[in-house]
Amino acid sequence: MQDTAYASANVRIRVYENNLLTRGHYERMLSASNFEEAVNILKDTPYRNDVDFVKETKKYDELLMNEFHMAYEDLFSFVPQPELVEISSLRYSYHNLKVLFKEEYTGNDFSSLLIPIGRYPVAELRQAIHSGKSDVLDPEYIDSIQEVKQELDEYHNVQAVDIILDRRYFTHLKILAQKIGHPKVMEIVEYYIDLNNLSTVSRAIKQQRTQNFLTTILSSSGSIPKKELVELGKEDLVTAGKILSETKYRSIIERSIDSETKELDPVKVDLETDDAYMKKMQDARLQAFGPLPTLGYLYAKEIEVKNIRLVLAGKENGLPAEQIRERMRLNYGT
Amino acid sequence: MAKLNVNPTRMELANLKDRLQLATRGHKLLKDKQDELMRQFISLIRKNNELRTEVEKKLTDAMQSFMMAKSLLHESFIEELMAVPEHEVKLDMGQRNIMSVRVPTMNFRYDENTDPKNLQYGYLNSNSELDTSLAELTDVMPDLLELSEIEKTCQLMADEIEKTRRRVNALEYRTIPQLKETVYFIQMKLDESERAAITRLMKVKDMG
Repeated sequence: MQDTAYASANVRIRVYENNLLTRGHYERMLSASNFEEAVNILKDTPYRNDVDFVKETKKYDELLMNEFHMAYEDLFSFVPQPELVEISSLRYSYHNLKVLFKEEYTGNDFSSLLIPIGRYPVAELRQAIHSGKSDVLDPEYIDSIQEVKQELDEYHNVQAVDIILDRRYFTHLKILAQKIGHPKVMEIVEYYIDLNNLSTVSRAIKQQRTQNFLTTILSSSGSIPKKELVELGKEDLVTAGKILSETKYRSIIERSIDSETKELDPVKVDLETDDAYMKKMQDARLQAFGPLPTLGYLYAKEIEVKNIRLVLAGKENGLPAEQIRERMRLNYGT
Repeated sequence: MAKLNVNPTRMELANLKDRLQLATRGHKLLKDKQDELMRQFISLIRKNNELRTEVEKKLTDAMQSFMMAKSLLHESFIEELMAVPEHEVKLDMGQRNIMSVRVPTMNFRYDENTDPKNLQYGYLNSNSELDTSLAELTDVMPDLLELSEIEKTCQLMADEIEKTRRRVNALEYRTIPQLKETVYFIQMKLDESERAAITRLMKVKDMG
């Protein structure tokens, strides 16, 4: 698809970007003395309609999800290639798949856990899980569903649902990028998978997981060979930090190493990988054409929701502003 | 102190003396039981206090890191991860006898092949702070169980101590003094009537 095909969509996205929360909003929320005051600051943002509801019920997850849901619906309606929006929404589709599989397996009702975001409606996913086939869904979904079904039939291990679908999610993401066929999108998706693999390895080492576990959970769709990452699994956090600093992700790893213990700190890796991905996305702000602004905006929205949730949760539990600030993710805007 | 409302007869005196002896023996036994219960209770309470502080600290830490993890993740993500429990845990309940107080003993029983510390869940929709909080929560479980066992034991023992103390006090300050006084009263009464009989006899002799 021609880069210019996105011209009108990108103009709309530029307008939407002006509505994103700025650093100033977060600072004001952080310096608010209590939860109510912090919520009040959302009154001059697109979240204004639900402010009173949140103050009464403290259910800010609902407010954030409503806004998120609307943003996705809107983008699906005007972005020329739905696959592009799907790259961001796929995580929610896979979450829904997991919930539906668990429902199907245990017979319980987990419908409250479903998140109504995604290219295909939840009912379609449910039907596909039930019958194992679908005329509407992409074949990648069916492949994922079949793989989980096979595992469940053989081993009856429900936890495998999460692990297989996480791995399939990354494969699916890569296929989507290939379908879009834009080199920048490919690069971003690969980068995203690499960052997730880095975070997975550091967490697995910290939890002393076996190499077998790493083999099942790591994705082979990234640019760092999976074999090398699995090998890393038997090292300790100090050695793993040293080895990873020699890869192209040196700057992220070096910032994630604890200065006192010299160990790779998984909490910092999570933060640094989020920030590194955001930095990559920030390039999109300067692009007038092509698919990047859509991806950039959606990621910005995701981080915005994450940051608001963090600040509100922090305020609700009376955490000091400093402790919240150090966990906050990089903002898309200035 | 009120004496018992009984007839001052020899038969009653013998009865009361028997009762007094029984009450004194019972009092001594109950007093011993109370002392032993108290001794055990105090050491348990001390342990309970230490354990509670420890468990509360661990729980606060775990809840704090859970709050941190939760603030960065969608709630449905976390609930989905834990929607179907991976391990089955059974709780075995037994009974132990401390000075005839039946206190519970509790133990977790896991399947042979499961390691409670090795929870498997997807990494995509979780973060390392969640890992930490889950590890901390798993860690605190055995202590929490022990704490509940000790707290229940303390509660049951406190009830028993209260009951025993009431009995000891009733015996010490009511039954025994009452019995003693009544025995004394009957004794006096009997002595008095004996003296009266002797005087009467002497008077009758004089008249003769």
